[in-house]
Amino acid sequence: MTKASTPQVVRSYLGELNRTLAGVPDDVRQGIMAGIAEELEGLDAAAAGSRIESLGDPAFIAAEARAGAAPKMSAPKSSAPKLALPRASEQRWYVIVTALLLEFGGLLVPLAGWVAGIMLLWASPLWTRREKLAATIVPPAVGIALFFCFLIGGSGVAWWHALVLGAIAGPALASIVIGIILSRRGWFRAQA
Amino acid sequence: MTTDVGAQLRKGVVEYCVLGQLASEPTYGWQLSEALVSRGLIASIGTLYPILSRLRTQGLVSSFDRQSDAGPSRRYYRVTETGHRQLTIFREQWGPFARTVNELVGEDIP
Repeated sequence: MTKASTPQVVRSYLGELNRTLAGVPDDVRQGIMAGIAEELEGLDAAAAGSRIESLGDPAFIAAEARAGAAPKMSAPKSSAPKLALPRASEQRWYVIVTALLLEFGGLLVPLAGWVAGIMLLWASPLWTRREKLAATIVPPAVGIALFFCFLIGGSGVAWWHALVLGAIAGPALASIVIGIILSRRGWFRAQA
Repeated sequence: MTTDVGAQLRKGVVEYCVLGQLASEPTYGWQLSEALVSRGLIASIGTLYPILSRLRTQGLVSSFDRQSDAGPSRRYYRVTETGHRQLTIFREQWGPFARTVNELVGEDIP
């Protein structure tokens, strides 16, 4: 890694750094050594000294590397890694299934199909709490609102038919609109 | 609550900051370290390589060697497709998250 023409200050620094990195995982150790060596390569003693000064004490670098690598060396604990592999509920097929159930689940299996879609929606981290609340509350609210609007507006058998139809069609339409919006948002947030 | 608040915050986002920096352009270790140290996100180059190692293990970052015209051959790091997707998810969540924290914490009124 060091050549005969390498200034003594660089050779000393790299030697000390290599010693202090003992016990650090190999890939981290090699990365640090290579990264610093390539930066110091070709510099004269003065320029290398300046770079080394900005780098700091090898013992400090090694301590930081050891602390940073520690979570990987120890046994996995309850705290999940920051960048874990995607779960099923974070993938695009999950978005499609959820959106279809929200949009048409209630038509295929009345109520239960829509409820299944809502449960999938709440189980996924792809949507915000506000989006989940909107998808859960808006369709029933539309149905209830239409029901009372029709109720106030008239009477008779035909009117009752219109009332029941409106109270069903309203939530269904709201679910389809919400399903489309949330599927688009979920699609872009999900893993392919 | 007596722990170093800055350290706790950095710990949660520094990997994404590395991804963000590498997403703008492939960068070699020293250059990346300088960018992050100058912004107070890492303490030294010793902090950077364990992070790069984890990101590579998870397939979010890859490396390649590039020969420069004047200087030495350097190992560059770049973000993979998976890394870009992970970064996109983080970007979408960070804005609402930061706004929520700001709403809850508020500003320091003298």
